[in-house]
Amino acid sequence: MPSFALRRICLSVLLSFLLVGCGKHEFHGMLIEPPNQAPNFTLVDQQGQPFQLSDQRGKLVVLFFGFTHCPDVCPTTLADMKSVHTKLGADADKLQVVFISVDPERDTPELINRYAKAFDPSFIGLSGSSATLEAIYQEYGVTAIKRELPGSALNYTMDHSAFTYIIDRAGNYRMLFPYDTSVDEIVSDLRYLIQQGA
Amino acid sequence: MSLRTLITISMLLTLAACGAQPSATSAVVNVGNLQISDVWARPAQVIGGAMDVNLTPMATDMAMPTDAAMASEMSAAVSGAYMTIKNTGSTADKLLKVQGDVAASVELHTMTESNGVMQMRPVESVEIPANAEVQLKPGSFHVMLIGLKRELKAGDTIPFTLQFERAGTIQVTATVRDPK
Repeated sequence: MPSFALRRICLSVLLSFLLVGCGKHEFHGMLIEPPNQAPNFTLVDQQGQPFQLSDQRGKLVVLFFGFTHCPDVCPTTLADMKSVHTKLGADADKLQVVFISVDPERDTPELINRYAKAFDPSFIGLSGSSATLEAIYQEYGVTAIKRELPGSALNYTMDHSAFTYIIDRAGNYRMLFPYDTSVDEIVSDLRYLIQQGA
Repeated sequence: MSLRTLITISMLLTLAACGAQPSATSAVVNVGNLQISDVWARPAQVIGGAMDVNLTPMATDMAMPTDAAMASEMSAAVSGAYMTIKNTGSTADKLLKVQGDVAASVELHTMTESNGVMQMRPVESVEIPANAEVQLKPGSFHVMLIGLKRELKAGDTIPFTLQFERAGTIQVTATVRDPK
């Protein structure tokens, strides 16, 4: 059994390693360098009012794409974002989670917004006309392909890319998270961005 | 009191706390060579139902409710159910079908990723190889519940009937919970 003093030395060595590790933040997501202006868009919210990305300046926008008939990837991402929101604690109000439909045929603005709000009342779900959404997919490099599913009660599904985009308070596109990024990794990166005033 | 005693006590307390949780999810069903455990489903709201008809287009860009959108109000409530299936036998088996009255349709689906694009597809069956364990889990095989007849809240239980090629019919109960 090591002596108390030895254990204390071990502990302080360990702590200093941790502190060194904290000195430079290791990003888990992909950093966009230099940050550039995120393409603005206007969609319609559930009250029929225009929603503009540029109106969200001052908040860190967490943007991702999906659809309500998606049983797996989309609820996983939304539930993860709810966990991120909770873990950020007092900083949660610096965040705006926005979920945009890849399935305007089935997702009315009202339906997708209710879906998003079921995870957290602060979340926003948006849809719009196919033409408007197509332009947004293009600008954000989102793939959204309709696939007929004969024999399934769904009739069709949407193959879609599942990246999460982070847009900073100044409206700059700052980070991209792949689908399999863990909640703690996202929280760590967002905390750092918030500390940096991004 | 020594540090070690304290650690032991706190570990025991932690274990006790775990033991006090509902144990329904840890129920294991054994039929023949198959062992089915951790059967769970994702919470879901029935967001369709009484649809507010105040979708008056106030902006030209507003998506007009289409027939598909109307139909989607009926089928929009979807969820996924998951489980672990272990085959201790020396012969492979196949999960052919899952039945349950919680939703209008219950289908077997899988999820694959190709260059960051997520693709969901129905599958005919899920192979359970000999002496192997197959997990139906988020991002992989799942039981898709389409057109939920009721809201699924954490702690609710849902009965399902699984149909296997060799093991036949097995009844299981899923517990509704958030993904771990």
